[in-house]
Amino acid sequence: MHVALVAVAGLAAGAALPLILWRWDRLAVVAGATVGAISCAAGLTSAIRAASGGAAAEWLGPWSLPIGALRLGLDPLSAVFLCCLFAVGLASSIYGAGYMLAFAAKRRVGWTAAALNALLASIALVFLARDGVLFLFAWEGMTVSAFLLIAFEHEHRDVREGALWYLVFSHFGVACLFAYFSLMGSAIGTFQIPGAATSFPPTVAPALLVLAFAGFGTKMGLAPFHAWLPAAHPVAPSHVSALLSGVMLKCGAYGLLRTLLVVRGVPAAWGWTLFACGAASAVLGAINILAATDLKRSLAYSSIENVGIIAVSLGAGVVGLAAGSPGVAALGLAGALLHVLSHSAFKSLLFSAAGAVLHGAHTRRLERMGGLLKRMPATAAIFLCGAAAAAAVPGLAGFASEFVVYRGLFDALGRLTPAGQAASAAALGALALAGGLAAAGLARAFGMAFSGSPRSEQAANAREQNAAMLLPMAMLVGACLALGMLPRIALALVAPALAQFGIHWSLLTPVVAQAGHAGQLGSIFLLVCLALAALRDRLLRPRPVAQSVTWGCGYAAPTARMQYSAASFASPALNVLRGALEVRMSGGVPQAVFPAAVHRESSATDRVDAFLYRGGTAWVSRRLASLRRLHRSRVQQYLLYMFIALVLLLSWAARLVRQ
Amino acid sequence: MRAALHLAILLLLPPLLPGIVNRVKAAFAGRRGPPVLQLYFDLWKLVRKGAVYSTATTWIFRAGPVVTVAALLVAGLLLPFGGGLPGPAAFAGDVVLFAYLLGAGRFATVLAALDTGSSFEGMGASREVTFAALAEPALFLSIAGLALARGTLSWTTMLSGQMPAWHSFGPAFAMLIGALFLVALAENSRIPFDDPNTHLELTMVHEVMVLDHSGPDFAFILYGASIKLFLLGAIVVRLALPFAASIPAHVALFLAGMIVFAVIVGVVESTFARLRMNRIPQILVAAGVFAALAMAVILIRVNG
Repeated sequence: MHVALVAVAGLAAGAALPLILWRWDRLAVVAGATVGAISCAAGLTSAIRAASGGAAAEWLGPWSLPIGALRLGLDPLSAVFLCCLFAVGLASSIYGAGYMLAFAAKRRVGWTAAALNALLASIALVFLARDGVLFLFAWEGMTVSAFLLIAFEHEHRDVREGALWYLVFSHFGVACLFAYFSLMGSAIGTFQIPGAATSFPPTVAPALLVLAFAGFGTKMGLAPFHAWLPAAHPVAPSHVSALLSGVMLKCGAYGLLRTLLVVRGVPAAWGWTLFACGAASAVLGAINILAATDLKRSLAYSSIENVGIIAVSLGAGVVGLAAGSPGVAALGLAGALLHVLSHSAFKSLLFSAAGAVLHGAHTRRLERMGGLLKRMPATAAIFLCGAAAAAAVPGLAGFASEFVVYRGLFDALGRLTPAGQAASAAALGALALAGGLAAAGLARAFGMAFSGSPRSEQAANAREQNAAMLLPMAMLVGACLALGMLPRIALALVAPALAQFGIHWSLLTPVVAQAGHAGQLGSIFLLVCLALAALRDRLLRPRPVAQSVTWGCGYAAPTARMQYSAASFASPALNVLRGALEVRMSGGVPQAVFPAAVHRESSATDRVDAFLYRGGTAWVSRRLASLRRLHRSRVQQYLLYMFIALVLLLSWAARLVRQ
Repeated sequence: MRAALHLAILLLLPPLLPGIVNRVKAAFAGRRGPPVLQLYFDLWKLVRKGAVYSTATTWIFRAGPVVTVAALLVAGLLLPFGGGLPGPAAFAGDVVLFAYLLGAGRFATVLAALDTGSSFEGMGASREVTFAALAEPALFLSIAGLALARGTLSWTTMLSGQMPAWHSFGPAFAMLIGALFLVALAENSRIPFDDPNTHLELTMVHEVMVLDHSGPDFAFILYGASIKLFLLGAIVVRLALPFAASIPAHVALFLAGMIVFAVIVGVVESTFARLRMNRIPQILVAAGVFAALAMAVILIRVNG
């Protein structure tokens, strides 16, 4: 506990330090990153110990506000999430220094190190807070510091838009959470977050659950609250994207799990809602991984897909708890927590590698990349590892956790009521489809970015990145391998947190053995690969090996423009699934026998986003256009408003006095 | 001993299947056709050849065939070949690993195809991933149906001694066989999904992804394709032949079943035309619907 507190204090100091060193910009970045990395490393050891140890601790600090308290607590559930935070934080602190120094020639970057440490500290406080008011402070700190970082390159229009979407959605979520904690506080008489399951009055409990779902669901990026995620995550600096996708989304999952601990008798309906929204997010996210032609946007949709998988598993766990089926509950919650861990590892890896690509090739558009493997071999290998983990290739992190998720769904299929069984079967089908599409999308992302020949001059001139960026990515590769091949360790890490939900280790032993088996076979798979590769080399050694051009039906002068494009690659799948997308074509159509040159472009966006949010906001702002008459920049008018307001206030005060 | 026999079947017999399919097709066309062992000859020829690599390719291209074959071999360790030959690496939950190993193999093939930068191979890869993604729900729903009916999550127990299960779930199992047969044809790029014999790059799916591979790499690819056909065929055969017997009899029965499977694939290839590209998703959705219906029937039976 104390080490974790020191780590948070260290991060807070790390947030102040770059501001003190304001005059020496580069030094500020390095100093901020160093303090951040050391604090995260210290925090990580303490979080791992607390997660596997199972003991809970609390600490009450001095606090001068009339409401709330500086009440911090570290229990295994918080510790599991802190493990994600500190591990990804460690990697992104180091990576961030390398990433930001590249901008140092053009603009001030010192403050970003401060904002990053503030973000890390406030996320840590979110996980540690045991008081509603403190939680909201930390939550707002997280929102604001993330907003500042997302808006780093604010001279670009898409960056400003993305940051704004993020802020609006975050505040919708925060509004729900304000209501949530106020309601909880008024029901139990204190803002302290209860340590044990508490019975709320029958009118309060459902409202709490709805607010938790909306507030935390928004932070998690769960459909239909996901529209901000693909707008904000791609435009942030890449180590921030890594932190947002790898850790900040998990704050939503943490909030939902905390709610499950605090509110006694959560009904199965809440679980089913999570289950359904999760399945929808998984499929919608997976479709858009293929539809997006911006590398980081594609990865952001992959986060939506994975958050969906987490929500499905969590939903199954809640249903299991509500239906008194501890086996289903155990596997559902275990799957959710494991996927939180592995998604943190592989998604922060992918975003970091995408950042290296962005720095190397100066573009996020897949259609302008290509051939980067030859120019950035280390980044390519690292990205491949992340993509394979996200595509759930056995032996890597994504598979190990999805195995437990599937295992839980199969269990639910066997044990729930008939309606529950049908829902589990449907979810299995949905996750299978999402898995297939996600694998397709990630294969496309890798293939278009790294394979073939460069599609643009920038890609042709791409360079490998510095060690400060490669080293933290290598650490995350290690995490992906460890989580994939030794799932037993990850399960032991989350077991004490599961015990808080009344899930005994004995319920998990079968799945530990099975996941271990799957992990072993993953290693065997790797060994067979190596053996066959050796066989292939042996076969080829005495034979002639020649070089030639790629087969093009005999055409021997191919150009890079003749390669298959990312949009074409996605087209057959998107044709089948076009119901979920809004495809826009712009530009002219070639006409006449000898057509003039035309430019034609297609773009596909997520229909929920396009219709519900962009369409919806446009509709609302059209409807409210008449209100614009209220502010016509005339001083007299504003004076009148002030006068009316004053009269109203005075009359209200007069009434209060009379009473 | 059993593991050795299992491994021998897995390593040695798969290249036989395409030979049988081709003989059946030849018979329908009134030709004699190539020898049944033709694929073995081809493999032997290819491993003794050198290779030509495109200048655009990298180690990804060279790793593709190796990883694909490795994934399929490990997947083969999970399947039972007959009542006395359980999967040597079987465990509860191996159905999920099996599906994802197939996926890993495909991932490697697709990356190798994209590595050439050829638009033909990109086209094939794009079709492959589309059809595979659409076949995935059918596969998982079939697995879910079997899991629910048999109360197990391992192929070995799911596909053995299911005579009594056939009595209670007969119609559902028949539909599952249909769904799994369609999945097997789609995953292996056979007619009506893809024609392995076409020689027009624009119309192919699997074959066009491997245009640039040569020598031992191409041998790995052909070998891998035959293993994939064998494995998915083995599931259909084991489900369709619900008998329990001693080892020699059962293995003989299983192998006879595999031959019948190859003959049926050959008959389908000879009597059906290959579908238009945009009709294929409909058939895959139909396979999913079969599996879902089977699931519904099993749910009703299980609950009462």
